[in-house]
Amino acid sequence: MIRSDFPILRPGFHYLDSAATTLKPRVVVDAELSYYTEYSANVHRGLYPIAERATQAYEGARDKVATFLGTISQSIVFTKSATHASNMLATALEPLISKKSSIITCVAEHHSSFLPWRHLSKKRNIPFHVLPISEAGMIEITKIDELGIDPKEHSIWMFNQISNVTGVCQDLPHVLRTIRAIFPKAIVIIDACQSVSHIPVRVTDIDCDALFFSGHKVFGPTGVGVLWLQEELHDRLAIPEYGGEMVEAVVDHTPLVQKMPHRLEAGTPPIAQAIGLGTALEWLSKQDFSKIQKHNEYLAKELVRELSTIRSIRVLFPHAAHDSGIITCHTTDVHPHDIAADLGSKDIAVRAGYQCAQPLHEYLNIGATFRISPHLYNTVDDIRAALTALEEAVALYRR
Amino acid sequence: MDPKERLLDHYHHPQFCRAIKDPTARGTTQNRSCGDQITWYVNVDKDYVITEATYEASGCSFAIAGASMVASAIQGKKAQEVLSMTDEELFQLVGIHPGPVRANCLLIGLQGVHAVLKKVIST
Repeated sequence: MIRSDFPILRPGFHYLDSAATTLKPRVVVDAELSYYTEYSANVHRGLYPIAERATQAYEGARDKVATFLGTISQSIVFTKSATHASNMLATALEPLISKKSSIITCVAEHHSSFLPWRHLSKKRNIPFHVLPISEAGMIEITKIDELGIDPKEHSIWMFNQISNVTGVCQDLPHVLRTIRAIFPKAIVIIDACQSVSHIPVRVTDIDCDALFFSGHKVFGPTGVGVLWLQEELHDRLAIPEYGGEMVEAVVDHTPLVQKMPHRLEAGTPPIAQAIGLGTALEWLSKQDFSKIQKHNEYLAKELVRELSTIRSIRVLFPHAAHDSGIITCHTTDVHPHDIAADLGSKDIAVRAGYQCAQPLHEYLNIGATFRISPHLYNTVDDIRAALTALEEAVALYRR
Repeated sequence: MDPKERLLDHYHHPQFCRAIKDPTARGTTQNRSCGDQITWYVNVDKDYVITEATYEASGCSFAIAGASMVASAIQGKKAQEVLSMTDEELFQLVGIHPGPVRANCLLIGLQGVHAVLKKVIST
């Protein structure tokens, strides 16, 4: 019974906000606690037993992440968050950008994978193209040859694998093939924040150049993210942050930077959090991804079917494949904040607002929305509790 | 009537919720993070006494009921007196101490009328 792995899941608590953050299994909490209570030392430099243990556990966590993504540990950088990874990458890739480069993203991106790249385009005065999505929530990739992107220059492409609003999983191999056929110098970055807990994410299968995700959205702790970079990029990146840990030495006041991945990890890293994340991925690897997908798809179908019958509620992209279980709705005569707060008062956790994806809301010409995002620990009872409470909230607040 | 019932009553039947033609001052305040918006219309006399304060609002129950309760409380009051009204005093008036997110919703009415009254006093 997987619910018993999650100490926060007391009876009567219906957590349906996993797209914001997943709950943490006890093994993850224990791994962090064990670091703090048994070997709480800094990594890489200490010559005493608990410091060596901390270094082994931290680098061991890197190995676990690498195994999980099907890559080598040298390509795995621990960051503070996915947003930190995205911003770091936007700085690190600057040397590859020319006046004729372009940045291309999609309207369904989270602010963390939209704003750092828009900022970079403004800073370097290069075009920033925002691709639309289809009624099925898929990136419209067919007209990219009409955007005026120079195939002889580097172009940066930034897409999510699963949207935190639509819940739709992109056909990335198809998207990547289309891009690479026209733009051989394309650098493609994938935001795997939502996908990494829902489907097996193998960087070689996607054929991307960089990928990032946050620890807390994959059953791990807050305060840690992962940035994966393909090896060809390792020596071509600018250093985004300077400080301790990222240098081998400082000679004549000049830093001699470390090799990857340490050159991108300035300062004391999130040690406990990385160890917790390694444990989370180990735990997740023991689960059956095909069962997770079937489970979430089933819950999503239940949700879409029932939500469609509630007056005032409109499911976004109702005909899309909501394999991830993430369902977002807009409302006609009830405010999403009232719905989310009313459900909250009944111990049912859902989210209201712009879901950190305001470009998509503008594109769809809608205001705030509310989102229900179940995951592997949810049951049909959670869904029924939410639907009953939703009907009550709509009746109470409809104007 | 308990605070929640009173809040719902103000939400479903907001008081002073209308526009005024040619007011002494008007101003719109938005909560960009959730899309709530309120436009205040305020008339004051030569002594800065509020002779009429109305609003048009779109938002959640807390935003609309908060504006309605502020409007009900400030008719006939001096602008300076309303400007000295604190967030805590509004929470006491409503009878609800919301969490940090919903506090923004509840406070948009008070913040909006403060912005308009500052404009009145400074001109």
